[in-house]
Amino acid sequence: MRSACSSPRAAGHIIGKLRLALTVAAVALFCATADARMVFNRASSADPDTLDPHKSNGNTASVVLADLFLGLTTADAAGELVPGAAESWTISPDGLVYTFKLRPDLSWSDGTPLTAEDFVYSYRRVQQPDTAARYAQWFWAVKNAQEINQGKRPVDQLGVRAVDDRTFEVTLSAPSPIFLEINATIMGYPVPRHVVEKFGNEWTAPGNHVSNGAYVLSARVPQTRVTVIKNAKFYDAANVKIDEVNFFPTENLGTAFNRFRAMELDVALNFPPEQIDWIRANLPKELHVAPNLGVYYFLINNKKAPFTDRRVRKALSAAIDRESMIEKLFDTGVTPAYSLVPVVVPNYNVGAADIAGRPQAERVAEAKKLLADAGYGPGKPLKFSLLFDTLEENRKMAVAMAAMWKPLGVEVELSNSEFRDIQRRARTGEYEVMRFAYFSPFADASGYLNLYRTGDASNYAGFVNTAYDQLMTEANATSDIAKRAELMRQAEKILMDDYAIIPIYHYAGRRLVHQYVKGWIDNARNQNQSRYLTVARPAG
Amino acid sequence: MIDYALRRLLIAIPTLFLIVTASFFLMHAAPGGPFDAEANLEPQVLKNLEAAYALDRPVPEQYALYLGRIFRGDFGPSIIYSDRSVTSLIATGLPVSLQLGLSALIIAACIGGLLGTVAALRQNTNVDYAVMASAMTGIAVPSFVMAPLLTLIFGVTLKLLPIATLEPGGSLARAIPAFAPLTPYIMPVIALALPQIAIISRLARAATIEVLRQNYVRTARAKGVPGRSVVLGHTLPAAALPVVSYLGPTVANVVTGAVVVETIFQLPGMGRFFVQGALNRDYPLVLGIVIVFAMAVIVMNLIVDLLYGVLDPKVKTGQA
Repeated sequence: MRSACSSPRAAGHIIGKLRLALTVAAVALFCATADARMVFNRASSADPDTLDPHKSNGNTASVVLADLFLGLTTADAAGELVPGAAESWTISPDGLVYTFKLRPDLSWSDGTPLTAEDFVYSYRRVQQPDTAARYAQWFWAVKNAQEINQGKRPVDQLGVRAVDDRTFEVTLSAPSPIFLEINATIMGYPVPRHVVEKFGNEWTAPGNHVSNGAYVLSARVPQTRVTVIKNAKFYDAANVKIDEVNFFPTENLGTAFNRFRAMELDVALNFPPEQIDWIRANLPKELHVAPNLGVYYFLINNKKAPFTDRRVRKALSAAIDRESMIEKLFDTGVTPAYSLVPVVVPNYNVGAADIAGRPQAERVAEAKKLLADAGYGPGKPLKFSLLFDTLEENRKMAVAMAAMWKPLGVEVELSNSEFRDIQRRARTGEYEVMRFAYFSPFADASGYLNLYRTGDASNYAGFVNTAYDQLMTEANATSDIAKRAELMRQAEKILMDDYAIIPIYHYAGRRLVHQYVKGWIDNARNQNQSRYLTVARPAG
Repeated sequence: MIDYALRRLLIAIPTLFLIVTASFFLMHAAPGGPFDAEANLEPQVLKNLEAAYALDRPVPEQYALYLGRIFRGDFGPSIIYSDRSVTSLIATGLPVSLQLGLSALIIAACIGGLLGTVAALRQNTNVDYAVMASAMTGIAVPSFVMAPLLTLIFGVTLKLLPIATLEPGGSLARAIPAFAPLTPYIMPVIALALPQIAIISRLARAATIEVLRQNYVRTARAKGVPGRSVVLGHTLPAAALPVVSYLGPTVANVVTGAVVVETIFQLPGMGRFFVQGALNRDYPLVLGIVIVFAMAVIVMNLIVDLLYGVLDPKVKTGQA
């Protein structure tokens, strides 16, 4: 700064000299790349919390874990569910017994054979209370699982057994249509018993870590990178092209964006939203916007007056002009939402609220009438506080909502707090209306709709409806895909037409992918395992 | 002097104890726990998690457990990074922060001191105005503006330097391989040093002007001591005092976490662990860093006080 007048010239001079050196280096590099390893530099949102799949919260580590481990099922290049460690399976007619046939000659990355016993051990480990697995409940459909997790039964009573080395059998307590799906999640990954028991909590350290996926851990520098290298023992190693993958934490979106532009990153998971116009103009082929499994919505405290009145809830939801709000404020690929379940969720047709598709003016007029019927008007305005967590995007959203409610004579007090506090207040019901977001861990409508069953620990809106509960109970026990989808659609329709919550938009993943990364297919799961990709980075 | 230093270090023990106690209870008083940010956690799972970290016990009992542990020199497991211990996280973060902070401060002290002294000796000339104007700009431009700007110029546009993390990169590293290990540090050190250069040059200027007006300097000049000796021998040691007392706590501060710079350049330093630990209510991680930070402040203050005795004959540490 102090040498501001001379620095451009000096820089120019340096560049002049460097150009020659660079040319030499580029030629050298080009010659060297002929037999060079294929390296892929990708982003993980933040430093992974742990590389123990059962203990991870999945937010930051799942992209790394998906390269390291392979469950009985997995996702293919397009994000579709396909066989993983199991080559096939059979399901008993009552839907209660799953028999998985493992691929022949599976082994861990250290060469130890991987057998059905490893899956027995891993299934049990997830339910063992002292493992404190984050999402043990995903497997509570397995016989005795919940009681084991509560410490009420010994772990060997779990409904799993190794029939022989290659046959793994699971008995469920009730049919679970999403059972194959959850086997592809981090809770379904097997962990190597011989390593876990030898090293304890240290088993995830480089040098100790052993996995069964396409890659093995090579280095882990906290807050800097996780490096994995190709696993020669992986059953499909012949088709894995990338030799080395570096995962870089990218909490700072601006930095990640700059690193992408400088080709330090081949893929960036997100970018600063204000850059979207520049990116559309300058990097249109690198920009990948695809709907994902997230929904942005507002919780209404259904247990608290005046929100016990459906008319009030409906008026608030109907008055929001989602389309123009998104166009003006959040033009980053998100889509207006009239359902809890995102449209992109497979094998499902959403049960949208009855205000969907109606002209905005008509909806506002109805909202005014509804509020008047409920006893609110110029003399007696509806007053409540709108709670959101401290993020610029949420503040903009809250201000816009308050502005749209104002013509109805609604007086909103905006109140913000830290994310953690918001989450706690959702749990304890200390709010009136608050912003919320949910990403389902699996691509299935039940991942969303189960949350609104009476008494569900995550039913933060306090929605109670026996017809809804019955439909969901029935759906959760139905394996016929079409029939189950219809039951869930009917349930969602009840939830939406009761206006228990206010969906605003469905999220879209915003990725930046360099064109030299081949095989990248956008998908709702946002899963792109490195084993399906190739990288042909231009030299220099 | 050794007596004095030992006495000061002994007093530090109850100070540290108070800091740990206050931090412990303040941390636990903050709303929300380590697992509250996780949506849709089953109550049973939450119970298992809390039991795993002894968070299900009453806070005083947790406090007793924690004290027992730190007396054994164990900072405990981190809650967010569940497969790593706080000790290992600090062991990886501290060297990075030390390297970054110390190089930035050494550069800042040299350049800032030099600029300030020159400005003072040329008081009210164009040189003085130029130095002070740029110092004002340096103080006014925060590092979260300077750092991205540097990245954009040297990383994205010129592609000379790597943008983030400690991996060597950029065309500079490829052109001069011997220089490569240093490349990741260049931009962070500049971003960290610039505001310090500004502050130090202003401090040095004011102190030098003040000392130049002292009687003993006038006497030295009257006795015919050459200008160079007046400045180097008589003025500088005395003028260094305010700079030294500023540098003490600043070293502790910068070394234990240049949060903004570490975040923008994605460097694995203590600052990022501290902020993430606090946001995620990772009690053991935050407390571990607080202890290290408190020790750094105590030690740096002691060093500053000892240096006072060396630089200023009026201060006699032995009699303090």
